[in-house]
Amino acid sequence: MIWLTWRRYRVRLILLALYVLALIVFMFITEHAFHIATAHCPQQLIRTDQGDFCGHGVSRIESNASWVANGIGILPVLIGMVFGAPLVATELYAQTNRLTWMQGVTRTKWLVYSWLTLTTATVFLMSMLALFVQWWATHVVASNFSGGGLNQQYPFMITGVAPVALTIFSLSFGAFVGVAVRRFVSPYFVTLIGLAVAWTFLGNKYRPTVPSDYWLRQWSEAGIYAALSATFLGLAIWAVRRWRV
Amino acid sequence: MTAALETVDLGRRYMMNWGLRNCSLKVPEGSITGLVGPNGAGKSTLLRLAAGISKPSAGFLKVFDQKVDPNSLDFLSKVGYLDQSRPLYKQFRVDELMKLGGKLSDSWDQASVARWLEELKIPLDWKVSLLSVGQQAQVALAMCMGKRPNLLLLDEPMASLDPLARRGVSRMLLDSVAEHETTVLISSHIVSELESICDYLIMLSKSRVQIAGTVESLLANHHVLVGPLASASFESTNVISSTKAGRQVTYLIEGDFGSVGADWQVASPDLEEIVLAYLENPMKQSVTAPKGPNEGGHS
Repeated sequence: MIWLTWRRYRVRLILLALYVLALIVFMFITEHAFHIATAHCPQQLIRTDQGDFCGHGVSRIESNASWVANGIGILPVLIGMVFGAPLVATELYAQTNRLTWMQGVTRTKWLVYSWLTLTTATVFLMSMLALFVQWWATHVVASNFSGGGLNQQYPFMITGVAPVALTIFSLSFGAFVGVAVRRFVSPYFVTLIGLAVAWTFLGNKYRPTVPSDYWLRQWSEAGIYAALSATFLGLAIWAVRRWRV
Repeated sequence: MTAALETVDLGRRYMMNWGLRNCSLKVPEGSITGLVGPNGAGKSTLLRLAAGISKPSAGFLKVFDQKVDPNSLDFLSKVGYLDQSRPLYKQFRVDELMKLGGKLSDSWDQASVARWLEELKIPLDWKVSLLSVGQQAQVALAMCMGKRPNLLLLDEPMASLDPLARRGVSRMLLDSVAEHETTVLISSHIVSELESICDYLIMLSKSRVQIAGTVESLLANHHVLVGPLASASFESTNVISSTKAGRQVTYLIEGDFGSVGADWQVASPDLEEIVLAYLENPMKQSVTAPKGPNEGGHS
């Protein structure tokens, strides 16, 4: 099953890995550039708008930061669309699930293994990014992340455990949607709506109710995403075991 | 007789319509059973139910005396099923599909699959999507035979194959069956093909079993009588069909017919003629068929 999942998704996984690598390289380069640009600036001028050269450097870094933040911020949802939604839906559509089952793979194993393979791969890549962006943020844009030009959602959802948990959720939810909606509605559309609802609700409604501590908020949101993930994966397994034509 | 597949009053309803209803039959273990019948008789529905892809709405069915459970590994490893849609991963190469078979199935017979595909001249390094429809059907068949099931359910395996390929597939089927004593249930419209493969025949008409018997006994027990219309007198047990042409009449009958006059000709029909006679007369039932709950004169 692991081989089958790899064979089906290898092009997409390699593209995702290249994308992640590109972001990491971008962070390395900008970190290096930042050091060169600010080498002769007095420390107190680096993160303010005073002084032509240093101010210019900082505003460039700000635009770099928003590139990185957007590039990482969309990833969990992108993973949900590229890996989660088609996980079950495309198999049911092409009926290749029947081929695999009749070769002697139980439905539970079929679903869990393909989910687990993609989750492991994407979570690994997402964790790498979350770690690197943390290193990058502390070196380059520590103050800019906590305020200013960037949307509060992004810095929160690109580092730490919450975006990783969101990635897992996007795969579980996509798998569930694949079994649940069959051919009546586009599974991609439903997955996108579901992820947007969860993301917006947790970011805008739930987060303000949690005490303003970064890691407390991270873990509590990660916990919710993990619980949702387990629920939807469980539902998907239940539905696929009952599935008949 | 031990049954590889047994159904009792089996029914499957799709919305308002019954795809199969009140179907009771047995497929003898070790047989190669042909499943024939008109379109809409419920052949594909029966095969899907036996494969656990579909769930009965009424009645029950057993495979090797066990309940059909598509979530049981034991069931899945015993049963092979060739879907009419022939699902394959189209973007895989043929040899990758073989590799997949080996990885998914514990009883995968790589050597045989490689030999069959070579005999059928399927290019192994081609993507499945580049193969013709007929070649894809052959690969799909090789996939479900490669795992060496005890019961092989084949839904129209000969459809979309040219005559030469049909012969190749028949050989491959017989080869595998002889080696592993597989029970095969094979639905087809091409009765002449079945005659050379099958040793048992089941004919469904609107879910009702019209014929269920060994090919040998069916051939031995049916006769064609041709004679003048005026002197049509014989002790028939079961007249399946009668066709008048001018002053001549042709009967296809089952069982003993006593003696006929000198102006009558007696011939042995082939399986296709027998099946056609029953197809034209859906209310007739061979004595070999089990008496179902529907018996009683109404349709």
